[in-house]
Amino acid sequence: MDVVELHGLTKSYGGRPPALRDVTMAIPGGVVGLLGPTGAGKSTLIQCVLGLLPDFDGEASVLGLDVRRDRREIRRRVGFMPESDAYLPRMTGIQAVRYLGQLTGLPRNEALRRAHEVLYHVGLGEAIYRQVKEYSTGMRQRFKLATSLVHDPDLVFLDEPLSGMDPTGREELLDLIRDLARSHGKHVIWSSHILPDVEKVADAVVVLDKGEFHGRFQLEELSSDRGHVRLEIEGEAAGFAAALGEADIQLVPDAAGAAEAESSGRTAWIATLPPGTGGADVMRCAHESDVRVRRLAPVVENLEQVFMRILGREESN
Amino acid sequence: MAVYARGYRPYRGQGRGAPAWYVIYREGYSLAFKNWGFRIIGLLFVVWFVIWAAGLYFTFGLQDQVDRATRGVGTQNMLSAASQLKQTLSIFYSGVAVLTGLLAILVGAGLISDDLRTRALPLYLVRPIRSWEYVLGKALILPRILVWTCLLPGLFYYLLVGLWQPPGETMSWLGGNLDIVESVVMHFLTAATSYTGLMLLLSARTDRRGAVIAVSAAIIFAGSLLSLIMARLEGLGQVMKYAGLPVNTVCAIARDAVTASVRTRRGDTHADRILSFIPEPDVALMIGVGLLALGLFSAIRRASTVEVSA
Repeated sequence: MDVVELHGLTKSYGGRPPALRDVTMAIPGGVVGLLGPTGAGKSTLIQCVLGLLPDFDGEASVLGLDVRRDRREIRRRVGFMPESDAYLPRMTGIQAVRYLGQLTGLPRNEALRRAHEVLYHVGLGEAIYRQVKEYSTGMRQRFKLATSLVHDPDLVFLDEPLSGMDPTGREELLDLIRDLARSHGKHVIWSSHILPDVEKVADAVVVLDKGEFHGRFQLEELSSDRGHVRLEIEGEAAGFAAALGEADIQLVPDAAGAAEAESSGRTAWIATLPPGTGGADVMRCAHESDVRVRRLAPVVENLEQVFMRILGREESN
Repeated sequence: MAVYARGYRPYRGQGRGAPAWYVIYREGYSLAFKNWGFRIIGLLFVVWFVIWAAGLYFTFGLQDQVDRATRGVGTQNMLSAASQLKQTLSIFYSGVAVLTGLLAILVGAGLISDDLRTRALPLYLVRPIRSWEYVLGKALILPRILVWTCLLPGLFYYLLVGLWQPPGETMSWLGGNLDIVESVVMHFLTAATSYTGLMLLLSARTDRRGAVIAVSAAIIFAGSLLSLIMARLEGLGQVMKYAGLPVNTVCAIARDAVTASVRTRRGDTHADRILSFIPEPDVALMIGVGLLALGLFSAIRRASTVEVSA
């Protein structure tokens, strides 16, 4: 099930170039990383679908509800943790979360009980009676997460949730986000440009850059064998390359492994195997070309490498 | 222990809470009392109120009893109770105007600008509330405070003097002087609309509370000074009263005009000159309502998007 669907979403600020340009995509359920470099349009996209920036072109729906028509219902079922440092002046943590719970429709007593629960849950149990403005950066991140969870939403938007947090706090929050999705069925859309954090938790990622949609991928699909293999051979490379070409197997030099391979008198490639072909075909070509295969391993990329490849490929186009 | 091990409990409640505007209003009203400046001014107001209540008693209520005991006839038979009360109200509200102006500045400056400064607006707007509900909640805070400073004291004094009437005449006296109630209510409405409108208008324009305080103080108190200076000039008054200097009118309603409705004495020339610069109560109220409409429009427009802070 797709929790967010966008059709031709375009948003401009005044006379500047569009922050979002004709974005058409669907964001699946689970934990989804909304990735892109700074200025890619991630926060703008979230604010558009939440109705915080109502003046945009195109169509958008959240949890099957139209963003323009069903804004209030969406906000009942959605939580939002903003990127910017946000707090309510002159309020303690418990007052602020209780207050925001009431604004989401909870009766006062239930909002207070719920505020205690979520503040304890995010690790602020001992600081609930302190003024929010006295919180450290990490505590404010936790506070913002608590405000987004107080009404038990189905979908939570997290805009750079880990920025400013210490390593221990990051791990705790990652655990918490993972638990929300896995154990409690919450959908989480997580905007970030810190890819290793996203990689630890997300099921899928959506890539934005310069206000444009660049692709959506399941994380397991990204980090496993996608038909690319790293190949190192000893022997006559030209004949072997020709043989592989006849089998529709494409080769590009392996820039990362080139230096090490050359020092050993080898040639290193990244081979793209078309559907229906596999390692056995490579070995057959090697046998026919009389070369020795020293390495044949699937290319496993991490999210950062894939992310850079996606953006780099698009730019080269 | 991992955070998630503490457990996340789903919310199963079905109850519907209070309307969002009421929640915002109630919270904002209680937060106003956390401001030390507010507490000090509130204390000054209470002192001022007690002084004039006591003054009324000693110059009127007590005197009446003494006169009855010694001469067999009450003071009220010799003096007009209504006239005495109007004099007291006039002086009382002159002092209250200063305190009310300070209260309005202290409470009103942060109505929206505080939320802009702390970037709390997205925390509100992501809730199922409309921008007008947010603004309505904010807009009701100041009038609620002005009920205590502008409305209830006048009504209290009115009832007090009514109770001091000879036995059996209380109700007839109260019924016969409803114009005082009308003046007090007009005074409250003018103060509530003009101060709320002015503070909403300024507070929605910037996230700098200090700037809002400075500008609103300049408008409220310098406007009053301006009225006073202009009143000393011959011949200009009537020209500028309605058309010549709009800012003077706006300034005037923010301080002096709010007391105009209870200034019933027009005996001395100097007072008349000052009052000539102050719109009539009906006009002041209309301007206040206009200012309120402008403030509401500006605040709703500001609260309908986070685009400026995006």
